Amino acid sequence: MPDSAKVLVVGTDPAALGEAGGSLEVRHAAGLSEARRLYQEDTPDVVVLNGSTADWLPELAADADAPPVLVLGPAELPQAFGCLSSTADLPAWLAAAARYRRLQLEQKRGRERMVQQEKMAALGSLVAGIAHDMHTPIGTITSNSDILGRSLARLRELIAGECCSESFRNNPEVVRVVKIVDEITKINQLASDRIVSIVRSLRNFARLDEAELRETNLHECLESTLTLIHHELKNRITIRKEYGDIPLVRCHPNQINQVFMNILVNAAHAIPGAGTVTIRTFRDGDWVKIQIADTGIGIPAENLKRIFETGFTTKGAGLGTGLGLAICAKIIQDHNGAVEVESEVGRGTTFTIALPVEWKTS
Amino acid sequence: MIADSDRQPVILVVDDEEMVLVSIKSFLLLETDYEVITCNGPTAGLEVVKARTIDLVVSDYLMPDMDGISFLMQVKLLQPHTIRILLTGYADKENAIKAINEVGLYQYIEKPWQNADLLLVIKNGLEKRFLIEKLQQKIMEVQMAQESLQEIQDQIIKAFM
Repeated sequence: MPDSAKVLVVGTDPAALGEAGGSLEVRHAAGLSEARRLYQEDTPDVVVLNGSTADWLPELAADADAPPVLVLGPAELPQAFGCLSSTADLPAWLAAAARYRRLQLEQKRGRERMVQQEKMAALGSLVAGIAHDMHTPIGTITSNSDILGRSLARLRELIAGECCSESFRNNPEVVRVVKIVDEITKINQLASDRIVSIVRSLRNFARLDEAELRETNLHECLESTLTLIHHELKNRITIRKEYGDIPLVRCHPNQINQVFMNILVNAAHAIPGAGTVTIRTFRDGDWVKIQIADTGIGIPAENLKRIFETGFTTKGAGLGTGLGLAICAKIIQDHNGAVEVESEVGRGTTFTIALPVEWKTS
Repeated sequence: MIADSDRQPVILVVDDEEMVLVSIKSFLLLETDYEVITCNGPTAGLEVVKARTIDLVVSDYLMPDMDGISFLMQVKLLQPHTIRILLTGYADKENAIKAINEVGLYQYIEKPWQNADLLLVIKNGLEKRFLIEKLQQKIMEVQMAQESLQEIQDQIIKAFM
């Protein structure tokens, strides 16, 4: 939230704000249609109406997140934040309304964060449940592909052996079928190995069974996350790993996984064509640092300073919630750590996460 | 490996999932000469354990009428020397470890399992089973030898008195 409150004055001459207007970002609309347009463009922190524009009040009040409204005029309106009979009281009322707005927005962000965290928790338990239910069928498929491979090897020995006639052994159709079954079985084994590793990653990622603080191997967290976002990377993005010698870190692995996933997916999205994401881990004194650097489009300076703000997004509506990095920052903060970002437009962005080697309970 | 035993090992596999039973049975029939009995639940499994000697049991953990640990405890009561193996999903790992300590399981295998691991665990389990059997036989032989020795001694003493 910027220091100076944004005020939308409708109807009244903004000169009426007097000296109070000096520290504010004031916009003026003569009528309601212009006011609606300005409101749409950028939601103000306080709206000031007068007797003739107060008709707008019920419409504004219908939105629980709407900014407080001050009405200049004698009427007593319950939906207004305040009704002022004299412009002399305006500076004090404006300050109060701006303070109210700040608290209102803070509360709203808190609510959004909570909803998001609940969503993640619900998703986590769903994922863990699915991963568990998949054990039996996947175990069976893995086992059966293995049995097929072993059976085929046995069959080939038989075909090569004495009990088999020369004409059967050399029959092109027999040779062809054996070759096909051999290839298909090998592919099945690869495919089921892949499923097993995805399910293992899902399980590690959700880590519902280990939600508490524990000594965690961050490289394992990174590997699980990389398996899960494989589809975002595909052949487009090269992952370069520069894993250093780092100790186990006491943390909530499921939360740290969420941070890695957010930053890695953002990195993948920042790269338009082919590119590289470099993951470096190293120890720096009392800190373990994880650096995730992409060769993407970079972030302009004016956006960079707002990047960890709740609700800030440059993705279109419906694409980004503007919560991802805000939650990352919160998680790292809860771990007594720090997250920093450096970026250069056209060259790429580097996130550096620092987690304390020794966990000091605060 | 089981050269010390001249009889065919008998294995019981219990799981409520038919697909698991078929897979494990097919695998063991392909790779071993064991007699493999499969049951789709603990109740049917206990009937088999009551009826005949079982060398080794592999049981699933989560089953509708009785969990795998309770089932393996019952097996222990009926046939104390049967080797007991639990097949379990990852989330039940803690229970499995508890069971190994409390019930005295031989091993647990995590689902999704690898056939090679399963075979190794079963082979080692059977080896243990037959070693114990052999040991008991030796102990019995020694006991019998001792008894007959005692008898001879008694007769000698009697003859000279």
